[in-house]
Amino acid sequence: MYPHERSLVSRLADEPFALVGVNSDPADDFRAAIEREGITWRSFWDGGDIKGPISTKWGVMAWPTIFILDHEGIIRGKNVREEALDEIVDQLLEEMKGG
Amino acid sequence: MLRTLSVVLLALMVSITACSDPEKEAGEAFAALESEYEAARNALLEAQHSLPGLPENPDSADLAASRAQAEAGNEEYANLKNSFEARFEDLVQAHWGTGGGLDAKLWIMTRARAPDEEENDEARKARLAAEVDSIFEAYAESTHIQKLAELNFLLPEDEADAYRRRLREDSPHAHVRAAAIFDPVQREISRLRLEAFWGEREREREADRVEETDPGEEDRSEEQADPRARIDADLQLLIDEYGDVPVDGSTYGAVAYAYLTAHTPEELAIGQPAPDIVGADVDGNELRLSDFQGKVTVFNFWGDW
Repeated sequence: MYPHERSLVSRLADEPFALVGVNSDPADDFRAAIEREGITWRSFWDGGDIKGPISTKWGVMAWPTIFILDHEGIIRGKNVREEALDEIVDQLLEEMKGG
Repeated sequence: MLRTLSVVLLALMVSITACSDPEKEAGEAFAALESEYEAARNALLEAQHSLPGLPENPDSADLAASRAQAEAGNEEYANLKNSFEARFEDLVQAHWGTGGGLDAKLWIMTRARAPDEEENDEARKARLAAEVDSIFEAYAESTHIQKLAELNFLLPEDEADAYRRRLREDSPHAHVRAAAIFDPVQREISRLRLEAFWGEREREREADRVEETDPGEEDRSEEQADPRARIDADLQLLIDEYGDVPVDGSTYGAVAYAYLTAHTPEELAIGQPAPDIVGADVDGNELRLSDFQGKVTVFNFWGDW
């Protein structure tokens, strides 16, 4: 997952695009992952447990779980990966500029 | 003089506690015997089957499967297990009433001999029920009985429920009662969420095949209405009466509130506005999901595992 996330973030660095995470690791593991993987995007920290408040509230049962939001904050896609993820993000960016 | 005396007294008390704490003694005896068993079993199975280095990834499904296969119909292993069962039984006798004694009892019950011609399914169920009864008799007033909140691995669900009702009504300890309420609620919520999760996956696949809206939607929500009401009532009970009782680094109040106000699958469906989140990053800086409005956002629940 990390390499694809990194390439998505660098490819869209100049676009109105954000990658936002919710991380369920213990704080030290989370910090180590940020360091090791060169993670630049923001993440909520969910208390160090998969039963954390945000995951509980959003009913997350599997990791990773992905929601794709358009620029108005509407949920437009879920759990797509790799090329399909690129495709829907590009499409939403087009739509934003076109509209 | 007085100070010397109190130092001596303190030292005496410390040494008495160290030597004669039956809880500590039983806990240590159980831990030692359990790790001795694990080591003996791993050594035996490795020798017989040249399984890969066992403790490295004990959760691996392949490894669990190969172990189970190695254990089934394996006479040497059965002998090993029986000899340890006898030693765990001694530990139960010596430490009945303590946490370690109960751990030993549960160790025996969960690793009960495979059903053979001498004990059919019915007899096994009856034996387990009698054993759970004996635990209730000895531990009803103890906090250790909380280990029984998770009973489903031992008993059929309705029997486990009956015992949990006894726990939630009779235990003198708030955290035992709270656990007996919360455990089945959490399991039921997980079940409903998994159903919704797989239902959604299934509908996505269906949608790929035929462009059609889901006809089963109404049936499903009606089906869920009943368990949901019971769950919500129990969550409210946890908030009202056990709000301050600690659990998993939080409190039952906070955890139950998060479940009670959780977003429904319908609220998180494609086309719905994403609910805002007010939270913080790992350094405590406030972060809101709405901070990213105006941008196309990939919102990812992740962990480094």
